[in-house]
Amino acid sequence: MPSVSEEHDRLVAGFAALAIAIHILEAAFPSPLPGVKPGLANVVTVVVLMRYGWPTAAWVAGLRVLVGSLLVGTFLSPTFVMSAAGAAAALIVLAAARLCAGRHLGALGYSVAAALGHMAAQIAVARYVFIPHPAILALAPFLLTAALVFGIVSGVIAATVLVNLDRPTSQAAR
Amino acid sequence: MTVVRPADVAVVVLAALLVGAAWAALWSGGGEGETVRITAPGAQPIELTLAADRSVSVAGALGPSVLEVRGGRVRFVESPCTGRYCIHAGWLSRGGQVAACLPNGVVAEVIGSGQQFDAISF
Amino acid sequence: MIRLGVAAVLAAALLAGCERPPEETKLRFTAMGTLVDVTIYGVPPDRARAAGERVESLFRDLHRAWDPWGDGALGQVNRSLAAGEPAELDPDLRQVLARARDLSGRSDGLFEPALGSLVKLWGFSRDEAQPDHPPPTAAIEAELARHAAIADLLISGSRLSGPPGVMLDLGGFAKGVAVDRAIELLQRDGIANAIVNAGGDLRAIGRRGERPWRIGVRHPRKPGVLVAIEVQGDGAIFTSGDYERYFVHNGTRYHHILDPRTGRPAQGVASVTVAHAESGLADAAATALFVAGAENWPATAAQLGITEAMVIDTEGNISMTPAMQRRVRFIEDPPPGRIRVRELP
Repeated sequence: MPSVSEEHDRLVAGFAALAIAIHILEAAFPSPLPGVKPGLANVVTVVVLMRYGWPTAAWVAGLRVLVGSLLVGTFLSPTFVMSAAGAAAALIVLAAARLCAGRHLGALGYSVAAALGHMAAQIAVARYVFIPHPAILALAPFLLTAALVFGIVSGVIAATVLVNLDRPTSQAAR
Repeated sequence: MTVVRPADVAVVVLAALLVGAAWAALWSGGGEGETVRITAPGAQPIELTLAADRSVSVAGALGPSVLEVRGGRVRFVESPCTGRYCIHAGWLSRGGQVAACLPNGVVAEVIGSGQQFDAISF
Repeated sequence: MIRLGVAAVLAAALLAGCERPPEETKLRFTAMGTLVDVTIYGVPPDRARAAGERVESLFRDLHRAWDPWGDGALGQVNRSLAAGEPAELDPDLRQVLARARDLSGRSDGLFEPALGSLVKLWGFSRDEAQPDHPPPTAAIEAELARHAAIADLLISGSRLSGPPGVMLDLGGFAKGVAVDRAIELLQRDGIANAIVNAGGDLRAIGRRGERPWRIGVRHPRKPGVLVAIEVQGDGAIFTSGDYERYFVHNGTRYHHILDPRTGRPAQGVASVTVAHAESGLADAAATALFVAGAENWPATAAQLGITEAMVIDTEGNISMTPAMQRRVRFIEDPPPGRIRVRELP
C-alpha cells in the first residue's frame, strides 16, 4: 500500500539523516587514533537492519559515510577511509550474523558484533595502511574493549528504539 | 520482542573472549618487565612479579644465590661464584634481559610484554 | 545450509587466531662460559629435545678441546709451545688454527688468536674472579713485548711450532666455529629451521613457520633492543660489546676486547654487529672491527669480505654499511643517535 511504502521511505530517510547527524557529532570528539570512532552510528544501522533488512541497512550506512564525510569535510581523507572500512566491516559482520543466526539474534547481539567488526577493521587499516608501526597494535586491546562497551550500549539503545518503534505502529493499526 | 535474547548473550561472551585474547596477545613478548623467572639446577622454575619488593635465596650447585626484587627491577645480590659476573650484570628491568650465575647454575630472566623476538644478539 | 557454512567459516577464522599447539622447542644450557639457547621449529618436541641435547654435548666437547688452559687439545698445544717444544695437532684443530691464522692475516692482526697471555694478565679468562683494577703498565708492556702472534707460528703437516710466548686463545673465534658446527649437526639431523644462540652470538637457518626469524640487537648502553634484523635461509649475527666482560676502575671502563697493538682494551667502540653466512668469520670479524675502531673499521670489513656491519661508538654514534642499512629496522622512530652510512673501500 502506498502509504506504507511512503512511510517506509520517510523512515529510512529519517534514519539516514539521524545516522549522518551522529556521524558529524562523533567527528567532533577526540579519539586516540585519528579517524577511530566509537561507531555509535551503528545504532541506526542495527535498527534499520532489523526492521528493513540488510540491503536497506547497507544503503543507510553507505549514505552515512558518504554524506557525513562530505558535510564534515573529510571526504576521501584518511578519516573517510577509516569510516568506510569500519562501516563495511560492520555490514559484513552483520550479514554473516544474520545468515547464521538471524532468527535468534536481537539488537544487542548485532550491535556488539558490528561494533567489534567496525573497530577491528579500523585498527587494521590504521596499522597496515596509515601508520605502519607495531605500536598501533598495542592500542588494540583498549580500543576493542571500548568497542565492546559501546557495542553493548548501542545495542541496548537500539533494542529500546525498536520496542518503541513497534508500539506507535501497532497503535496506528488499531 | 524482549530486549536481550540468549543468542545476544552468546555474542557478547564471544566478543569478550576475543577482547581478552587481544589483551593476552599484548602481554606476551619483550618490553616492560612484569615477572622474573628464576631457574636453578634440579628445581622447578620460580616466577616472581617485579611489582612486589622481596629477596629470595635460590639453591644452586655451589650454594645459595640471593636475588633482590625492588622498584620493578631484579638483580643478583649474593652468589657463591668467584667471577661475580651475575652480580656485576646489575639491575634487570626489561623483558628478555638475563643475568646468570653460570657456575652456580642459577639464571634470572625477565619476562615482559611488547615486541617479540626469536633471539637477541648482544 | 548456507548458515551452517558461514558459521563454520567464522568459527574456523576464530580458531585460526587462537593458540596453536607449540611447534617451537627452546632449550637452554651452559657451555663455553655462556648461556646457549637453541630454538628448533617445526619438529616434534622429543625429536627437537634430543637434537638439542646433541648440540649441548657438542658444545661441551668443543669447550674441553679448545680451552686454552685446560686438558684438551688446545691446552696441550699451549703447554708444548710454552715449553718451547713443537705440538702435534689433530686434523680438526689443525683446520681450525689454519682458518684462524688466515683470518688474522686478513685483518692485519687486529683479530689475534694468540693473545692468551695478555687476556690472562688482565684477568678476563673465564674461571677467574672478575678483575677490578688494570694490571700494572710494566706488566702489560712486558707481556706485549714477549708475546708472539699466530702469524709467527709454523704449521707443517700436523706439527705446530713457534717461538715461545705464543699462547693460543681462540676466544674471538671458538664460539663462532662451535655455532657453525651446531647448525651443521642440526642440519644432518634433518632440522631445517633453527637458531643456535651462544650468549648473543647466533646463527639462524630456515624460517619460523610463516615468517622469517626475528632477531633483535641490543643497544650497547640502554636496556632494550636497538634494531631488528630478519633472517631467513641462513645467516649469522654476531655482536661484540664492551659491556659483556668489563670492570670500571677510577671511572674508566676496561673491557675484555684487547687491542693486540697496545695490549689494552680497544678504545672508542661500544659494540659491533656483523651479519654473515659463516659464524666463525662473523665472530672473528666482530672482534677485528671492534679493534679497528670507529673510524677505520670499513677497511677491515672489506679485507675480511664482510658487507653487513654496524658499529656503535662510545658516544652513541651509529655507523653501518649500506647493505646493513637495508637489513636493519630501528625499533625507535626516529632512531637514537646519529646514523652514518660508511661505504666499504
